[in-house]
Amino acid sequence: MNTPTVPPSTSVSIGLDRELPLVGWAIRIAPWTLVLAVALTVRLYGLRTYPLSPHEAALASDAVALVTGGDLTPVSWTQPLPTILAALSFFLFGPGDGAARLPSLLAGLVAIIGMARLQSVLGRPVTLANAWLLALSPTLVLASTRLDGAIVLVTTSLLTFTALVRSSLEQRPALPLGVLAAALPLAHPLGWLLALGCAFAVTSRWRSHPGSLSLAATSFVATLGLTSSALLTRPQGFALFLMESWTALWRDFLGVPAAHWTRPLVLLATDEFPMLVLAILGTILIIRHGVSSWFALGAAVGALSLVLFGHGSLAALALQSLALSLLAGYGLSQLIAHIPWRALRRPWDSAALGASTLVVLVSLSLLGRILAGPEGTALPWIAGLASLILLLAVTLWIALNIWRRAEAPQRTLLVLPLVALAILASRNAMLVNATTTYRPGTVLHDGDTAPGLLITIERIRRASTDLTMFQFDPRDPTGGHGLVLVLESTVAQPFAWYLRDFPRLQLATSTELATAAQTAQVVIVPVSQQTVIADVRPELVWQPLPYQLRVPPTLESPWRPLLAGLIDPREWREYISFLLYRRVAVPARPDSVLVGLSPDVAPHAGFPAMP
Amino acid sequence: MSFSEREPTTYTVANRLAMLQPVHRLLRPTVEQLAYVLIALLGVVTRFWDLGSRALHHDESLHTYFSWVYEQGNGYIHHPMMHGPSLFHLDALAYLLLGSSDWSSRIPAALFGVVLVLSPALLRGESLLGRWGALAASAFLLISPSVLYFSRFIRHDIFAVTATVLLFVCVLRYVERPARRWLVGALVSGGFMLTTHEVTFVALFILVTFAALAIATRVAPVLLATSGLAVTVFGGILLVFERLGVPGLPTIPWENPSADAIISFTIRLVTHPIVLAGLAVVLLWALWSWRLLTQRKAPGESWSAWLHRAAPEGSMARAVGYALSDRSGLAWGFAVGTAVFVVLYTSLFTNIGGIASGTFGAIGYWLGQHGVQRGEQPWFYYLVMLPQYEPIAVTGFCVGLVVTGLSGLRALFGGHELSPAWRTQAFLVYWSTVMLAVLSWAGEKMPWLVIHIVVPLLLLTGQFTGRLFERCLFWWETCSPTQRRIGFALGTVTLILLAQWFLTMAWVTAGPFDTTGGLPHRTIRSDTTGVLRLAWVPMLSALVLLVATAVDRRWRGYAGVVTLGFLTGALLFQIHAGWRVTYREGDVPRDMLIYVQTSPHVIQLIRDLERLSLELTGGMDLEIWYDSGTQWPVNWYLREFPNRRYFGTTLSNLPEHPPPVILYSLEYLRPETDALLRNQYTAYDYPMRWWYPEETTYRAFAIAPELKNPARQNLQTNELPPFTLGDVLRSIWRSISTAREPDQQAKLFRLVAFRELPSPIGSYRFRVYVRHDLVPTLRELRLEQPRLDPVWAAPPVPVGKETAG
Repeated sequence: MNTPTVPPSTSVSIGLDRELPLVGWAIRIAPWTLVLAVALTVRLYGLRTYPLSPHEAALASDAVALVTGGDLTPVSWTQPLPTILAALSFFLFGPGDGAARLPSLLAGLVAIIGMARLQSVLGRPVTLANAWLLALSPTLVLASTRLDGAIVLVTTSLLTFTALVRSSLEQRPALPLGVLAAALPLAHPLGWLLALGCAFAVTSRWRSHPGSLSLAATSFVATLGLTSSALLTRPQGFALFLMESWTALWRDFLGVPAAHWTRPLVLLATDEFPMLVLAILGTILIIRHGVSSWFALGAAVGALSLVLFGHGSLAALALQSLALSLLAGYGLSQLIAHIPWRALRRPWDSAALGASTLVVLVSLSLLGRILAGPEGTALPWIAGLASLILLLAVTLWIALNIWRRAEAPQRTLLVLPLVALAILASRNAMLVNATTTYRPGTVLHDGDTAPGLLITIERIRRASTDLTMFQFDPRDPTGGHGLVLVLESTVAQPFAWYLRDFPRLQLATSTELATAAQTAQVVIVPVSQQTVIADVRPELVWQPLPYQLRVPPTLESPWRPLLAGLIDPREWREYISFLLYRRVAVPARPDSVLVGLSPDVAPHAGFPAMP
Repeated sequence: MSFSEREPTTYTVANRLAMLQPVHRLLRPTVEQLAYVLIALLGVVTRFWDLGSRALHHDESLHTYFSWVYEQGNGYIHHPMMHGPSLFHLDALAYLLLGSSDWSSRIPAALFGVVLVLSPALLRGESLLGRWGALAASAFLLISPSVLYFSRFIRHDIFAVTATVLLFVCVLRYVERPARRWLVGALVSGGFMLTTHEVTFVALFILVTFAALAIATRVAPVLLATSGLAVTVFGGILLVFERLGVPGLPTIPWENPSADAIISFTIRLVTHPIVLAGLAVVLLWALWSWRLLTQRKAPGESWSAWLHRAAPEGSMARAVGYALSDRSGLAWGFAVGTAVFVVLYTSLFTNIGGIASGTFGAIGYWLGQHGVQRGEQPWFYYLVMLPQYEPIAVTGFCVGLVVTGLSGLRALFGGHELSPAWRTQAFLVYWSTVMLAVLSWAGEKMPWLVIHIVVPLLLLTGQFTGRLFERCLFWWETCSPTQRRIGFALGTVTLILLAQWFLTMAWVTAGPFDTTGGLPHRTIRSDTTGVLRLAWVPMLSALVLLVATAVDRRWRGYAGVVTLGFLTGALLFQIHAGWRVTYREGDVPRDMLIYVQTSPHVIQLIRDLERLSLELTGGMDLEIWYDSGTQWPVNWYLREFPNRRYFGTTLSNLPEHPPPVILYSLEYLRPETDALLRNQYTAYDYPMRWWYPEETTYRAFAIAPELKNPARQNLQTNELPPFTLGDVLRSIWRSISTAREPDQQAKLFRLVAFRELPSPIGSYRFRVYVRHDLVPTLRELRLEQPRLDPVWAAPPVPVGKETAG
């Protein structure tokens, strides 16, 4: 065979031949990749465990309406940015709970990446510690799995802060800063306050550069205009956004100062307990080291403002967690820095740590036993107590002997609180979206939809399939969604969201309810409205349905148990139990609504056919 | 240096370092390598994720059932109706390794889908797709809605198209660089390709004719003239025969291919005047061509030597010359290719007749099917389907057609040589065009066949996009920061304009449903007719921006960025369309790409029955009877129920202990049987399979005179057949001109963007009879089941805004 002489099969091409030093990158970004992976796992774990809350469902319904050309409600004009992001997600992946929360999930990850951008200002150890705290903060985890603008607000705040801090007189990112500042009020009404703060900061830094200021202002206004009018396709959007957003800001936040002011504090004492401990440590160290007292002061003022005006909303709580993480990050990084990690390689130092751990565990066991009391069986209790004291004495003796041989036993002990805080933080983060019976004992789930609601939705769907499978028309081309549904407007969401493919779904105000219910096959109303319907439709089969979760009464006025828990040793056991399991003496019952089904529908939905 | 002397240490270190080179390269990948890794990962995720959730289509259930039977040791006999044997072998292997399930059934298809996505990496040469072009083609294959959907569908098409691409890759690579591996690869791929689907005969025809054209153009242009003359003469003979009233070719006995029928058909065929005339023309043409060719060849010179002499390096003719001289390569390739063919068609040597059924049988059967016109789809079927799902491919094809044609003409009249890349481009244009033409001509048009058209279109588009990327990158690297900022801004503005157009169209067309007459239909918002025209302003602005930047030489660099803006918009649209049709509504025929599908209610029912069986019998021993109308896919879904019983079409009485569940299609259910069953059973009706409403969506686009059924030829006007070409053209114009009307624009937009159908989907229904005593148990079991993703119907209707009915 002849040997051909041919040109090489491929040639050098622009961009494609650039080598990527993966090893170098891996070393540099491995810790960040790990944080992101952990953050993603924790968020994905709970992304769809809770149904959309009424507020989320309203935003999601509006996002669908935006994509498909429907009319929007005031809810979306209050928060256009989350609505648009959800709309984009729906455009790409179709409407659904996961797609609705996807932008929040991504925003949560962007916040961590944004933190990495602060490395040059805060230093790598502090930013990395901050990133871990952001990744594991239960509040931020919850915000990242909810479509309500809270995490978008947090992320844009962080990015704005980063842009501000990184900017200099020579490099003034006026355009991106204007865009980011505009994203704040677009994400949440509380963003107006942050945007105001940003405006002050920018003005004071760049007052000698009016050109940059005007560019930032122009991009701010242009972003507001373009986004709120959804790229100018809803021209009235800008005015509606300003009106609705300012109204909400006054009505829900500024006009009701100190409403639910206890919630942030309760949150700190419960879900964010590790962060609180580290933030206190960080604040003390910042002041002692004289690192940046204005920073601590700013964080404190911010936290106080949120306590006063945040209304205990998720956005306020998330912002509080962000501010706190900046303080706690410093504390955590210092704590890690003070641990003599190399000393742990020495046998006696690691043995000292092990022995100390044993002492702590035995002490805790002893304390628990003492606090539990004899509980009617004195002899076994005393015997157990005595054996524990003996064990403690032995371990203490061993520990002391080892300590003498170790070089830095005291500082290696810092590993213990670090591990304890890490375990508690991981547990809190993982369980914040759990739907176990005791989890609703946290302030973060106030207003969430009860998970059981989806079962009833599914029952209505199955009944509809059985009864109306072949009632086709272009509004329901697949058939099976032909039931006539009437929802009272105050409890319409999230039912309207989950039953959005039922063309005969109708929302009715309390005054319209009696008329609308006359032909309905399924009626969903607040408990108080049952009598209105019962008069016109006595044959309906009523079924109570858990609707929204509420905060347990203990947490609404938590001072006595909280303070007692902190001070009174007798309450410690309860406090630790609450810290770990969120168990409260009187769990909050979720708000209920009533589902009324006509007798032909009820048996297909698994309910009795007779009222 | 003696043997006892050791190598110097430095050499050993260098040797070790050299051994570490691959590792080092792995740790320092190029952008291109990383991009392919990313595409591969996305390919695996998109093809394998949630693979088993969609109900098995009627044909899928046939394939899976017979594969399962094969895997159970009960053999497999090839029948042309179910195409080639490779699918059955691959599925049987999947069941052997992973057990039988909907998920494992689709594993082979998904694997081939991933291979298809990565196949452009083999065409990275500058004379082929180019490196950016190959990367772009891979990305396009990754997100192509039709390729994605049918990569997760256990039909033969994904195997056929992947094998076709691999064959063409081998041929193109051999032409580029005649190495033996490509020759052997081509023959093996060809052997496997022929075991997949009969459409691969078309692919083979495309390859052979293109090669013949390329060789003739290069070494003996006179052959083009003789061939043209032969075709003209044969055409003339056909015309004369038609005037003389000579009957058409005999009908292929595909329904009853007995030995006698085949012999009789063969005799009638070979003695038919048309066949005889054709053979005579071919013979004359061959002799004449042979004489002309031998005149060009030196005496005693071999054909391969002549081709070496006459054709330049890198040409098809030269490659054929190399292939003819590589006897070992040809022998190896033929041997392995034939082995694959024989092994698969004979079902691992258990069915020797498979060789006949796989060759003459398959061709005969499917040529016979041409006249059946199953589905009765019109000639424009693919023309209206493609733009709905593949805007990038369609645009790329239009550009490719024009650019290739113009370059070819310029070269022809300018007398200069065409580049090797142009030849690849011309091949892709030829492949796309012939495949589109043949499949549009074929009597049976089905949505899964569309990927045979889409794949070459995407490769062609990838080639163009690659050049666009290269130009953009070159421009980006040479321009100033201000120009970059302007470029970025223009790209963003283009994208914003496209988004504006979409959102405005969505808003204007989202009027209430009019329920006043007949079926409710969506209207446009009142007083927005003018707005609808305005809605086009952003789109037109974007186009003006593109044209303006392309026309002005100083701004031409920006045209690439603006084009990338358009491309991004189209990519987002394809993700939107592909995601919905693949992952959300894969078994709900709101898409033209779906045609007919088993409804998800069948899956739901089977799960209910499984639970009922577990509850009542502790296993899968529940007795279930089913009829002929429900046997597919029920044969597959009830394969683990040993007490299933197929009763044909009629059930006249019940035994003393009637079965717990009976499935009966409404097609065969008679009223008296229904009355009999209702005494002891409670009935539920569900759709067994449902289909896309073709009549109200696209069928009225144009007249289709090729259809045998006169009632289906014209769904646009009241005119009756016969129809002329003028009638067809006028019908197309009518459709295009009605698109000016706001209502039509709105209907089209909402159909393509949101799959809002103007009429309900059609369905084939069946009735589930559950014995009265089991109804409460079944109901309880059903309601405790985990939630299935619901079938989402139309997007929410603005409440309280409907026109009063």
